[in-house]
Amino acid sequence: MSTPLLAVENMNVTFQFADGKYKALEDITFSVFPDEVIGIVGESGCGKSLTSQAILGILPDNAAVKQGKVSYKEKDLLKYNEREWQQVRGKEISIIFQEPMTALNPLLTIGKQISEVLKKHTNLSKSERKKRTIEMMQEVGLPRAEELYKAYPHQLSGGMRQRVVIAIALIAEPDLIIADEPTTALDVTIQAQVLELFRKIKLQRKSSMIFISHDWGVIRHVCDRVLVMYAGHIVEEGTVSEILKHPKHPYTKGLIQSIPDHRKRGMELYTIPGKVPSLQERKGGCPFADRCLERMEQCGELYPESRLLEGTHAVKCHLYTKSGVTTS
Amino acid sequence: MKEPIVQVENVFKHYKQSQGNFSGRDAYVKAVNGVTFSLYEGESFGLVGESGSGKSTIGQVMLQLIQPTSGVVKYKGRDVSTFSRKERKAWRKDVQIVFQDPYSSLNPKKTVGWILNEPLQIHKIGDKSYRKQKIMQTLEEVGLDASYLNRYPHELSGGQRQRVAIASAIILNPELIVIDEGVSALDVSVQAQILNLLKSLQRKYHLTYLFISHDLNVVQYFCDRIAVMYLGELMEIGKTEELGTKPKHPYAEALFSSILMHNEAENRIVLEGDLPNPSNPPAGCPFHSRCIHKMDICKTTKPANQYLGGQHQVSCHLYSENQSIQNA
Repeated sequence: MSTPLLAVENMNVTFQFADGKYKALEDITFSVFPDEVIGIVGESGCGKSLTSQAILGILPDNAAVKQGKVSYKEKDLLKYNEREWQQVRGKEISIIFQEPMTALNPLLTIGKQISEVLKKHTNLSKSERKKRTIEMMQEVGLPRAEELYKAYPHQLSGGMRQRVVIAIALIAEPDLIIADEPTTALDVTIQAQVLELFRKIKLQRKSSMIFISHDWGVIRHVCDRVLVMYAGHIVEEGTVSEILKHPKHPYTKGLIQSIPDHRKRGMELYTIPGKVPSLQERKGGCPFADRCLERMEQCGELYPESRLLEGTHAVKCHLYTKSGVTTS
Repeated sequence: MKEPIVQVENVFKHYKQSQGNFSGRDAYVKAVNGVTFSLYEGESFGLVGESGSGKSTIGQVMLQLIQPTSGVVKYKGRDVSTFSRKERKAWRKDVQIVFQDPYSSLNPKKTVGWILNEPLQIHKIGDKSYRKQKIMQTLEEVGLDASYLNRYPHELSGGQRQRVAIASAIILNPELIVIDEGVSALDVSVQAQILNLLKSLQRKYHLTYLFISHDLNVVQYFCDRIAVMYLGELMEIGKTEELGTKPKHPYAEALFSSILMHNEAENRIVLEGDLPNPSNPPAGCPFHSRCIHKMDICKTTKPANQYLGGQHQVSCHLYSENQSIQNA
């Protein structure tokens, strides 16, 4: 296997609130390899977006990485100062957010917002920047690019705005793109168009992607591998087809079983009892223990170690630790 | 066949749009453009379409929360606009609505107990002790208990809030509930809980649901019949098993092919372009600007509604009799 482009090792993120410190991410370890699209899936509040913010060094003010290592091309990003960060964001790693209206500046034209990235990161002349920007706009499927270059975000539909955000993320040709629920706010037929665009990017550009979504359908469509997050932990990971066909963690199983579809019509849907615990409600042991139907004695106290089942399929659950007892 | 509980007949709803232009002509947003269908007792009728297709407007016209520009809504055979004040108040008990966002549909300054007592008080049902008992019973029915009586909406999770919204909808023993994107804001595991709750309430009280949603997985799981809307018009109506597996209308076909969970990428139909502006819909068939089977007639003539056997109806020139004669 090649060397990973990005390696996150044992990362913990803590929030500082008035009443104390709370761990929001714990023991986050994963790698993204060149040309690979990795999905992060889970329900709201499980830490999907926080993981991407930690990687990009854009955590909220009251949150901090307390432990761990984030290596990008074998350099430790966590040791970077703001100046060094600016050379990374947009150029090496870029991010696409869910809501294009808030990601774009309403007062600047589309052309200006896309070409700004080139101004920051390249030595191209003004006319070269414009030329490159218009090419990029055509590449992401924006019609009448010359005309739209001078348009403002409010003049565009939701799908077109998201294409602008994608153009901004791609134009400096980053090696890693983080897409945080990039199609969630879009209508079904527009989502289909944007997902097609992501597939095209994946085939043509060979850049790696981290694709965050709560929607298994989207993950299935775009990603090679997937990380399943629950309450700030990665509880299972593996190839998308493997996880969808043979989920091992009781949370992953429950999550996949509770997706409604026409074949389940007339039947009661599977439900996971309870709800995702808030930061304050989290306890030691397995994070899923309180909602788990297969809970055993040690689940409340012992944190399950990650166990590699086969290939890249790994799970953190006492059901799969050797003879049900952790070794650490 | 059972009796229809609601008949929507040729309903139009056009909103005046203040343009501030100098032409002096008013523009109209054609939110609903001649829609006809019936709801039968005890069924779940799904209304699907993208944002701006007019599905929520239909739900609100049906409950007379907004007045149609023209057209008739009949409840158990009687035109609801001819109801006297007294009849209208009595009818309001029979028809209820659950909105997408329980954060904004529940009064933030009132406790759950107050919220559930209000409808009983308005309709002068029972005495104080009866009401209390009824509130308790309803809370239990939606999976909550007495401890919620004195809580405020902000203290509840999204799923709990939606349970309270459902409780306030069923407390007057209605016959019809409009569920307008009622589970769309919820995470998958919570969504499954609420869908199961709605189904069990339907069985117990023989409720009729108008289920408005953009999520085709949910609609196909939940509904007996489905109607597909595009730009204020119905494109196709049919039983879930017919429409879901073999949609006839090119728009319905593209919509259902975009379900990512089960369709392979190569079978998906990706439509070009955006939804046209509903204040200026295309002439002829509203879908012709994006249709891959577009013919000359589609640009000029609105297709009539065709019955394809049983209750399956489609509005598309591909299926009109004249067309098949011409092709033959």
